[in-house]
Amino acid sequence: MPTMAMNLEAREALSTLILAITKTGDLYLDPDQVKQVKSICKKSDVNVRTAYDLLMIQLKRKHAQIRYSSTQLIAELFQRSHVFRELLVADYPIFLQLTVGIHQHPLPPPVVFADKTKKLAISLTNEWHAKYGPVYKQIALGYEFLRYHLKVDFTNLVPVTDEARSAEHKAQEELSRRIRQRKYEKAAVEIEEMSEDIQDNVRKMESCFDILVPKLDDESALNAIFGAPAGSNIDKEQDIQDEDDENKDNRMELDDGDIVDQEAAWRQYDPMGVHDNALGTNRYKLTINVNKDNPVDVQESEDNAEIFTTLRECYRLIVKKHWPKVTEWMDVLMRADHEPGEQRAEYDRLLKKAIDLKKSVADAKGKSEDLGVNMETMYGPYEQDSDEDDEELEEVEVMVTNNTKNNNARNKGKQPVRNQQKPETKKSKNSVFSMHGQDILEDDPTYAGGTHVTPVRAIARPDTGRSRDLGSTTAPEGEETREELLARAPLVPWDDDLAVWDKKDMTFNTSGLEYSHRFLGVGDGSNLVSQDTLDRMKMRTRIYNPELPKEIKACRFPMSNGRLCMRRDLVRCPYHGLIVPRDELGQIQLAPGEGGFVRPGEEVLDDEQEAALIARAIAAAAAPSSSSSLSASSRGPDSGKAKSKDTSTWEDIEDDVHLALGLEKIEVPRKRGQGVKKKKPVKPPSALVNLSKPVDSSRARLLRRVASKASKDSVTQDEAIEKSSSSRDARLNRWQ
Amino acid sequence: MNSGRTRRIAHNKCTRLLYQVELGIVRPSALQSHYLSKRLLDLTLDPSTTIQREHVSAVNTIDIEEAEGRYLLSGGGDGNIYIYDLEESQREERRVIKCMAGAEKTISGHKGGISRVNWYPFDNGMFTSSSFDSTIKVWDTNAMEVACTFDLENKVYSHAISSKATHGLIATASSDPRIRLCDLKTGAFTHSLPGHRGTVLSVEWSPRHEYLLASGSTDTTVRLWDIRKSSSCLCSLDMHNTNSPPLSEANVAHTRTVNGLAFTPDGLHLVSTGHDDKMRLWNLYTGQNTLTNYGTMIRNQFVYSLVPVMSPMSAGSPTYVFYPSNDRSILMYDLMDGSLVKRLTGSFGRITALAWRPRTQEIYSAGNDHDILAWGPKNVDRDNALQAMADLDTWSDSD
Repeated sequence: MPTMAMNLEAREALSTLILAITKTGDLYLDPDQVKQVKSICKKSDVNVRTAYDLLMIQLKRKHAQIRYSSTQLIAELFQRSHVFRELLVADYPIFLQLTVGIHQHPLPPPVVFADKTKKLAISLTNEWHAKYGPVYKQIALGYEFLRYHLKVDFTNLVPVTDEARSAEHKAQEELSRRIRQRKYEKAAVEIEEMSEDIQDNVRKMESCFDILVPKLDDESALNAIFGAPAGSNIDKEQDIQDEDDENKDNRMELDDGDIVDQEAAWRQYDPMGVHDNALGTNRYKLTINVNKDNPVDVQESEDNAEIFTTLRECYRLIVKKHWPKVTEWMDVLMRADHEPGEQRAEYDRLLKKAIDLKKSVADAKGKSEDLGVNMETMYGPYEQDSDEDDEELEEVEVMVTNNTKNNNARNKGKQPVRNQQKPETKKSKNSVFSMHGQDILEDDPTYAGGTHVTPVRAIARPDTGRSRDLGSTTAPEGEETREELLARAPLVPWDDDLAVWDKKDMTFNTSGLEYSHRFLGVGDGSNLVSQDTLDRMKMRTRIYNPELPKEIKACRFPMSNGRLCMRRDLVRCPYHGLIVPRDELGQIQLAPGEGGFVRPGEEVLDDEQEAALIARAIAAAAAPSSSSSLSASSRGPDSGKAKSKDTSTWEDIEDDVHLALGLEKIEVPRKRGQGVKKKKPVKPPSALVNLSKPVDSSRARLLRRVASKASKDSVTQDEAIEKSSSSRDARLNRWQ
Repeated sequence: MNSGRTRRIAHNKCTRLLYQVELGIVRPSALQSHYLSKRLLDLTLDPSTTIQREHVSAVNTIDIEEAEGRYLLSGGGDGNIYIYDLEESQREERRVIKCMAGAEKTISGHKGGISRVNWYPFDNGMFTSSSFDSTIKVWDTNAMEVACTFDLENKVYSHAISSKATHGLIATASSDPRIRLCDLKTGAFTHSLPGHRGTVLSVEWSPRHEYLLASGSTDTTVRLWDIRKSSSCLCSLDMHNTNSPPLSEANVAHTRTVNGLAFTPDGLHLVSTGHDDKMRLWNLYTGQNTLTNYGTMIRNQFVYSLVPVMSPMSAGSPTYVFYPSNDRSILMYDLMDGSLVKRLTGSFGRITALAWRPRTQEIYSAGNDHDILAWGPKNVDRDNALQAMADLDTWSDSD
C-alpha cells in the first residue's frame, strides 16, 4: 500500500499547510507555503481534490479573515490545475455564496476582511469569466448573476491574478512606448525647425562676446589689452616655470659650448624675443591671478551698453526658451526606443545634432554668465520683461529681486543682531543659574522661561553689551576684575535668595503711601526689612538626596538545611542579626584591620551607631526618588524569585527558624499541578481577530452597568421603598 | 490518457452493438437505450447554449411541446409568456436562443404571475396558461392572443391537459379544495370533484387511462379520480400500505403538503413529492407505496406546483427522474431503485420547473434568477482551442 501511504502523507501535509496558511489572518499569503501546497498538488490529481476539499472546509468557516486567505489560495490553484477548476466550477454558486455573500448569506465579521473577500471574489470572477467564460458555463452564469442581480460594476477592477496583472502591465508598457514614440517624433520635427533659430541666437551671442572680450588665442587682441609689443608671454605660470627650467639647462650647456651659434641659439631659445623687449632676463615670473568671481572683467558702460542689451535679449531667449527645449529634446531622445535600420541612423543624427546644440547653448549661457549677465541681471537696469504680459506679476518680481538684493547687501554689511544673540541666550539659560528642574519645565509649553533668566544672565555673561556696562560701572578700579571674580564665583542653581544675597538692608513700600496694619497699626516709620527677615530671605531650602546603595547585600547566614539565607536587609537581618560579608559557605570573612571573627548575632556596633545606620537607611527608603529596584529587593524573601540551588526560599527561612525554636515544620498544601506546570502547545502567531470575544461597544458597556445585579437590586429596592412610602402616605391621609 | 481509453472502449462497444443489431442478435432499441443512458449520464450545464433572458421576474414554469419538440414556452412571475425556438442557430458553435414571440401583460393577458403553462398536446397552435390571478387562459399561438378564459375565482396553482384523451378537459388545481374541469370544446366547467380538504397544488392526467386523474393537496393526500363515475374519487394513496379502506381519512401520502405529481411515461407508476422532503413512487396497479428510498438530498419547502421530469422508458436502460431541489440543484435519481445518479449544480437561482426535450436528450430548467438554463450531454468530441486551454494544467516549473 505505498500509494495509499503516500496519499495519507500528502493529505497530512496539505491539511497542516492549508490550516497554517488560512489561520495566519495576514493580508498576503506566505509565498513559501503556497509554493509547498502547489508542489504537493502538482504531484497528483488526488492531492488536488484533497486540497479542494480542505479549502472548501476553510472557506465555510465563519471568519472573514480565514475566508480571505482561502480565496487567495483558491485563486492560485484555480490558475494552475484543471481538476481544481472542474471542482470549483461545479460548486461555483457555493463559492460565490461564501465569498460574495449571494443568496442572503452575508459574510461573517470582521467587516474589513469581508469587504476585501468580496472585492477579491468579484475581481476573480471577472478575470475567470474573461478567460474561461466560454468553457465553464457556471462562471459565465456567476458573472451574469453578479452583474444582473447584484448590479456589480465590473469596470475598473484591480487585477488580482498574475496573468491579468501581467496583461495590464503589458498594456501600460505599450501605451508608454507609444507616448515615447510620439514625443520622439515631435522632438525630431522640432529639432529640425528650431535648430536654425538656436544657432542664429548663439552666433549672435558669440559675436557679442567677440566684441566685449578679446579672444585669447588672437595675438593682436592680446596686444590691444596689454598695450605691449607682440611677444609677451602670457602663458600660465606653470608653463613659464617649465620654460625657465629648460632655458636654464640650455644656458648651462651654452657656457661650455661655442659662441658662434649664440645668436642663433638665442633666437632659438628666445622666440618671444625677451631680450628684444629689453627685459634683462627671461627669469621674470609672471603671475596672473584670475578672479574666480569675476573672471572676465568687463564693466558695462555707455560704450558697450548696446551690446549688453543685445546680449541680455539673447540670454533671455536662451534661458527661457532654448535651454529648456534642448534639455527636453535630450531627455526624449535618451528615452526613445532604439530601432535598428534606417531609423537608427536617423536617430543617431538627431542625437548628435541635439548634443551639439546643447553644448553650444550651454557654452553661450556660461559665457554670458561670466560676463555678469545671469538670471538676476537678465533684465537690465531700466529694462523690463517684454515677454511677460502680466504687468502685476512683473512688478512683484522686480520688487522681490530688489528686496533680496537689499537683504543681501545688509547681510554683507553687518549680521542681524537677533540672529547672533539667539544661541547665546539659550546657552546661558542652560549652563548658569538654571532653575531647579528647569529641564522639565522647558518641555512645558506654558513655561515662559526667559523672565527669570534675564537679570541673572546680565550678571553672568560679561560679553553682552549690557552686562559689560554694568561691570564697568560697578567694579571699582584696582580691584579684581569682574572676569576674575566670576571665575572664582560658585555656581548655584537659581532660587529666590539670589535676589537678596548681597543686600545689607532692604526697603519695602517705596511708594510713599502709608499702609497701616489693621491690628498692629502704623509701623515705626523705617521702611526697612528687619535683619531677621532678611537673613531668613537669604536662606535656601535644600532637599537632601542621599546616595542609595546600588545593591543590597543578602544576609547569607548558613541555615540548617545547608542553604544560605537570602534575605536582603540594609543593616541587619531580623533572624540572623547584623549583615556582614561572608564567603560562599557563609563563613564570615575577616574585614581588614579587624581583629577577630564577628560572631553572628553578636552586637558589634553600639546602639547609637546602629540607630544612626538604620535612620539613614529609612531616610533613603523614604526618599521620593527611591528606586524600584530597592523596593523590589527589599521585599526579598516574599518575592522568592530566584530559586537556584544556593539561594533559599521564604519557606527555608521559616523552617530554619522553627527548627531553632523547636517547633514543627509547617507543611503547606501545594496546589495540584503547581509544581509541574502543563505547557500549552505553542501557537503560531496569528493575526486572526477573535470573534468570540464580546465586542466592546458603548451598548455593551452600558449594558454591563445597567444590567448588573447591583444596579438591578438597587432599582428593586427603590421601588419597594417607593411602594411602602406611598402606602404609608395613603394611610396618613386617611383620617378616619 | 484515461479519458481517451474509455472513449475508445465506448467506441468499441458502439461498433459491437451496431454489428449485433446488424446481425439481428439484439433489438434496435438496445442501441437506442444504450445511447440514451450514455448521454443522460453525461448531462451537464451546456456551455455553448444561452437562452436570452426575457423575464424580469422568476420564471415559474416552462414546457416543451411534444409534437415537434422544438418550441419552449415559459411563464414568469411577471405575468409574461414567451416562446423560444430551440432550433434557432442550431449549427452555430455558440447558440444564443432568442425569444421568438411573447405575450406581455396586456388587457387580455394575465394580471398576475403565471403558475403553469402547457402546450396543447396534439398541436402547437394552442397553449394554456394558469395564473395566480385566478384565471386559466387558452391562447392562440400564431396570434399570441387569448382565445378563451376560465375564471376559477381562486388562485390557480396548476392545470393539466390529458395527452391521451380526446375529451379536451383541463383539470385545475387551485386554492379551492374542489378540482374543477374546464371543457375546451364548450368553454365551460363540466365537473367539480370534491374530496380534498385543502388547497390542491397539483393535478396530472394519466398517460395510460384517459379518464384517470391524480391530484395532490396541502391536506397531505394524493387522490386518484375516475372522472366518469359519479362518486369519482377512486382512492386516497396510503404511504404506510395499511389495509384501510381506499377512501379512509387515515390515508396520507406524505406527512406534509403534497406539491408535486408525475406519472411515469408508461402510466404504471406515479411519483409524488411533498414538503416532508420525500419523493414517493406509487404502483398504480395496486395503489400501494413501492417504498423506494430516494435518500435525504431532497429539499422542498415552497408552496408551488413542482413537477419532477422523467426520461423516456426503454428496455435495457433505467429510467431517470429529475427532481428540482430547492438547494439550486437538480437531483437525478434512478426511478426504480432510488439511487442518486447525479447532482446537477451550477444554477444561481432556485430551480422552479424542468422540461425534457426528447429529441436531443436535453433538460431545460427555469430558475427564480429570471433565467432559463439548458443542460445537455457533455460533448466529448468537441475539439476547440478554448476547451484545450481549459483542460490544460499550468503548473510552473518552480512549483
